[in-house]
Amino acid sequence: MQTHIKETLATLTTFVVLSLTVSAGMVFKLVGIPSITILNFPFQYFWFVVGAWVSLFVGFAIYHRYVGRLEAEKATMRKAAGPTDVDPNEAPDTVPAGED
Amino acid sequence: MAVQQTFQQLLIPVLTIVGLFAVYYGVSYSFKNKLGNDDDLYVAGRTIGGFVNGSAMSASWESLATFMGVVALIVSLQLPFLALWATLLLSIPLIVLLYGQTLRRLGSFTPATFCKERYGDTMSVVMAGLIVVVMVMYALGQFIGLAKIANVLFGWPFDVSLLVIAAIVVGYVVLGGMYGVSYNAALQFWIMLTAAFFPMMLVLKSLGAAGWWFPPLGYGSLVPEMQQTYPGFFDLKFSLKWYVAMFVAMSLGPVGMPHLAQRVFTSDTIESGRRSVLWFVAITGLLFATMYSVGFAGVFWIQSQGIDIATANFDKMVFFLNFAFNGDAITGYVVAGAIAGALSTVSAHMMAISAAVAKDIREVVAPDLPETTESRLGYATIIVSGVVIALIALNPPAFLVVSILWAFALSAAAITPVIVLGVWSSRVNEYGALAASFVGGATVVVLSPHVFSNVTLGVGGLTAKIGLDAALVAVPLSTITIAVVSLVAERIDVCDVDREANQTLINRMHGYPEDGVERFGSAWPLLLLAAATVPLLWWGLLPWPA
Repeated sequence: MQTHIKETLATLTTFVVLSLTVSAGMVFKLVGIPSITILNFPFQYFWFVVGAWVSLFVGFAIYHRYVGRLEAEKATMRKAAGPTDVDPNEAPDTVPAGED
Repeated sequence: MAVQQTFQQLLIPVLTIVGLFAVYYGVSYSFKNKLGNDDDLYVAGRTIGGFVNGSAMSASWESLATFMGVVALIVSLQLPFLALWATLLLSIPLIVLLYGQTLRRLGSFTPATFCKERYGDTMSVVMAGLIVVVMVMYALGQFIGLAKIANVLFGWPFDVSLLVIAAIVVGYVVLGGMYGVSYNAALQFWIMLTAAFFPMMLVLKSLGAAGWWFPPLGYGSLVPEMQQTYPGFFDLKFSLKWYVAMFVAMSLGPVGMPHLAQRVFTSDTIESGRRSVLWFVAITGLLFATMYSVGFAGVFWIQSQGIDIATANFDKMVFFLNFAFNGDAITGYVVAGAIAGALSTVSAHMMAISAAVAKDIREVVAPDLPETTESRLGYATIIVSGVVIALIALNPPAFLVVSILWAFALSAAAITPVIVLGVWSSRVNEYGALAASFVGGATVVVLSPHVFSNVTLGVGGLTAKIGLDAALVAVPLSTITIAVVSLVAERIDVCDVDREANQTLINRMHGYPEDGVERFGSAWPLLLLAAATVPLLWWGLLPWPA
């Protein structure tokens, strides 16, 4: 599959997954709310306070890793295409030495 | 039962707050000599790393509302407000996901900079104008809130407080530019978190919460009593349509917020920009969860102990709780946290306004200004923006202060589709972008109750005031417009759409080489997206459930 197709699908999938897990009110209204409590909190309340936030972190972390690999593919493609004039404002893709 | 609603001992609170202002000025001053050019002034030389940027993103996002407006809305709306606030967490992740990385690669200062390159001068000026309007609306609330706090602390008249606040904020923004704003915002986040978290530990302990030592989740033992005294607190209350409209307005709206986008543009690398999102999510979630405990504790306290607080004062609940359980000194630090939230946000607004005017609009109307004049113009716009916002805040039009959430609906319809689809489809052009911005923005304005009160979708109440109903119509309309007008314009010779130039820019933005491969060039995704929004538009136009 071409890199830009993978990039588009990764972005779209991440957008949908993050939207549904974080903006979970839509999902709860459609499919109902599990009648369980977590740490005494009704499930829906716990989800908005903690679950949405944690799922957002995990979802974006997965995306971050995957896109890192796609950026490496793009770098290989640019190298294969040969040198070009690069705008000094344009960002380096990766972390310089000594960064956090 | 009446409660303490203002300070009885002011010395320690005032010393705390004045001391922190001295620190903010010190931080800005330390960067004074780094301000060499536009890159330094507007995007901190693109040197900000992941942890500092994540912290700064969080503070710039959270504002005074995190300490005041949020708590009031939790008290009055309960669970649906948590759903809304949780949706706002999507802001920075979606910005980075949908366009932050590509615009950072281009070296943009604001979304208007991107619009100039992608769509031309006219769209750049339109986008810069929208940025200024939205940022002024947003900053107004912060200035008014800060002035009210100064009024309580020092007893100054409101207008004096406003002008003093404007002078103080302008001062530290001008001194350190985006370097000062970024590092101060990072510091201000940690002040906000400690000002919320540790005092709430003591409040929850006083209320009898078993897990008081971890406020985000420490009040579970109070839930059964809450369910008895306030049974509706955990109900979803509103319809599916409300939650969908809320998602459309409150996730896509913040995506268009230029002060958040500008944070991403300060990243030292594209990867660091993505990593800052992880920091943002982790620490913002922690602060949000802490503030939910404030809202819960506030409702529990007034319901279970018969506390008498007027609805109009619910926004000060965090202060009342601290006055009641922690005393004036600790409450002073909580107030400092609220101030930190306002400062971090309003300084980001002023940088966004300055970049939009002195960089984006100026490059269209006066592209050949000498560098020294450009630089002076940058500082002048920061000063003027502070003065203008303060002057409007002296007597603001009612609709500008009803809620900043209304501006999100405007952003979702007039800004977000233009930027996001401009990044992901080379078939979008300046004609589609201009038309979509106009149609989306005009729809939100016309349908809102703030401008033409007799032209509405009939839902009324808070839903209309914060633009949820308008967004459900305006965003699909804007999306359909950008697709249809762009594709039609391609077929009209006089429009002279340069598909090749669009394709080259798209390749460059996404980091692909110029290798003759057409990417993001199919019309089908655009048409499918437009078609997918038609049912949403239809649903938005139907009457809302009672």
